[in-house]
Amino acid sequence: MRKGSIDLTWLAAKIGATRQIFYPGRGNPEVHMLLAMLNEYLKKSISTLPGGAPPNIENSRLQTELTLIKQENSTLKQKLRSARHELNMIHAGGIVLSDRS
Amino acid sequence: MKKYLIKRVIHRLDGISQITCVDSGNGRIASLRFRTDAFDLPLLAGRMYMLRTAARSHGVNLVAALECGLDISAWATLTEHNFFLADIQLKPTAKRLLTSLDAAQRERLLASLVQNDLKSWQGVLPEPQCTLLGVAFQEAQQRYQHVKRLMAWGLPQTRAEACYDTFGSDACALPLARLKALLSFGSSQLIQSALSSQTSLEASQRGALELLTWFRDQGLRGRTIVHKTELPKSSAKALELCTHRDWTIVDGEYCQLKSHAMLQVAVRRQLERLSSGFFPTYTPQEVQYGYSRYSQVIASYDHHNYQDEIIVAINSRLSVITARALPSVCEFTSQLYGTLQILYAPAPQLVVYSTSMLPIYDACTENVAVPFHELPPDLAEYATVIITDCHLLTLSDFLVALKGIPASARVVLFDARPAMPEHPAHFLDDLKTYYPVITLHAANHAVSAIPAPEPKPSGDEQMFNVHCAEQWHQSSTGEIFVSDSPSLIATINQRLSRVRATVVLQTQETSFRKHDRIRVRPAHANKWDPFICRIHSVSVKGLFVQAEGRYSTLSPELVDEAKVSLGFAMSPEAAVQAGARSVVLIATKASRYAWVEYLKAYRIEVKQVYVHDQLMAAKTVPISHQRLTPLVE
Repeated sequence: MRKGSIDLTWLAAKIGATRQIFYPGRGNPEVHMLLAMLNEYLKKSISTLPGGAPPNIENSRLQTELTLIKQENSTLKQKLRSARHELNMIHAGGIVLSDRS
Repeated sequence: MKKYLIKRVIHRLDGISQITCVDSGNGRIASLRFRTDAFDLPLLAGRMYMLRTAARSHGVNLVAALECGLDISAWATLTEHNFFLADIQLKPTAKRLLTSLDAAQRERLLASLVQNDLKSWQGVLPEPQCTLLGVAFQEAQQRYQHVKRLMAWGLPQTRAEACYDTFGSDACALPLARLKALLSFGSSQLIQSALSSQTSLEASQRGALELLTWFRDQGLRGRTIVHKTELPKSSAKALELCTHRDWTIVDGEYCQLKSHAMLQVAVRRQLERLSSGFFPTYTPQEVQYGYSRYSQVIASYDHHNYQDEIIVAINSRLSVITARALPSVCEFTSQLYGTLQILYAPAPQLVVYSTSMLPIYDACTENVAVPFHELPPDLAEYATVIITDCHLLTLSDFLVALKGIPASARVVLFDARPAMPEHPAHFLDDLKTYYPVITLHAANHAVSAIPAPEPKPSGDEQMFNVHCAEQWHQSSTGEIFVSDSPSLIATINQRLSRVRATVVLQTQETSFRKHDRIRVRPAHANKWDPFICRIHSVSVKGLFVQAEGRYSTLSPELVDEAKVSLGFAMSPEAAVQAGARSVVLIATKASRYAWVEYLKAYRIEVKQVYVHDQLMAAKTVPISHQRLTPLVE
């Protein structure tokens, strides 16, 4: 790591190429894209490192729980709509397509 | 092309959609129109698109749309509308804070929202809301992707959204998802095109699609149980697939659509529920005593003696009463009323088909009659429910009515079909083989001895041709044509609909034009009174219609759960159901007087009678269904 992004000298040595290909306007555009992706990945993995931010376990546990509850809520709502649709189809002489469960 | 953020989308009933959007360059608000089925990508509020517009006579039209990701140019609008997420409500302070951010911070927040990594939001929003925002945003993204996929299968946006909301994340994921989407939300045209193209569906699914739509069409004609040999050719494999998925059921040599089976079984369960509990009976002497007391109280000269019939009705849980004429129905009802009350039973509840029929039965009872879908929830124990005009009820109507009847009640069903010149098949026939049937003899009033033909209609008895219909239609636009011939009904409806007028209502299958007369019936589990109206115009609020001189607006939700058909001409039963006031009758020479009598009994004025000589093909259409009556009592 160097100045918030990946160390180019180290990277060039690692893949056996010159540093030049990483400079804007010099190398292959695909290489630039790869570089950008690497940098982003690096940033993410650093921020999720246990040492990065002070871990707030209680908080993240609550977050997960909240997310799960929200998802369950929307699944139940959808099931309710699906049941209503089925009831309407029964009354309208339509086709009921519920899966055998 | 310019970049816009969509603020609001409204799909109108005539197949035109209107969007309000913000030009992200200069912040101007534009209102655009387009045909709902014109694009194959969903246009949803809170998303950004590259749009091309063109000025047309009705306003600015949308002619091309490309999706593009959100960017910060519309940040202010996004925050103001809580990022267009329905269940998120940002606090004013949070909104102020968000709008005060600089471009780089906005960029960062938006990017993290899209990537569902809400670290950078934690400083901006308090905790629970931050997570909720992330979840809601991801849900909206997922919804968009699914709706887009469904639209690629040919569904218009409104149906695709309904499909996703019904099936959820399974809407596209399942191996049979496309088949399900087509069957539940596709128009018959879309199903036809899916059937004809070889590539879109694999052969087994195509077979299933064909078979299930065939079942549905048969069911609409009343035939819900089919013998295996009557199935269309080469459908054995499809039947196997459908049965395996539990979409059809097979019992021995017979097969049936699951939905039909569920409705019929539900009716049977309700009838079983009605006959399971304790039910008090009276000895004939008790009833006779009550009846004679009643007769003395009323002391009317011309009342018909229904004592034996009343004994049967009182002592059976459910009885079917056939009557030739409405006066005898009224007579019988009021006698039953009085006798039951003398026996210290609670006063019966009279149930009619629709609110427009209330005045017909006003004279029979002291307490108020109700339509079948509005049975009061607080019926007394061991109450009596009298349902008139059961022959107008569909099986689904009947189920709705039965659900409102408490288990201890006594049920009396009236079948007025003998009053009609022809006797269409009905599920009541099945009930009649199981429950006691009482036939009411016409009250022997002196009046009924006079031969029925009246001088007025027989004076000018004209052969009917379509020009008559056109003349009537032009001279007084209020007349409804009633005929006993389905082909004549179709001809008149086709003739009187103006082909060149603008489309005002576009349903899944057909479109209706300005000034068309339509018949609106409930199609779903929620029941209301059917009615006939004339459509005038459409707006974002719904359909502006005129019914019997009164103007009203039908909401899109109502139209959504309704079955709409052209209402220039209809069958006599349909006119009675919809509460028509005056009609022009077109009937065969033999049955015209009977039809006039029938309509008059329902207080429908017959303005003119025409005769036709159409051959009446297949008098009674055979219907088939499961046994409805209880298996074990």
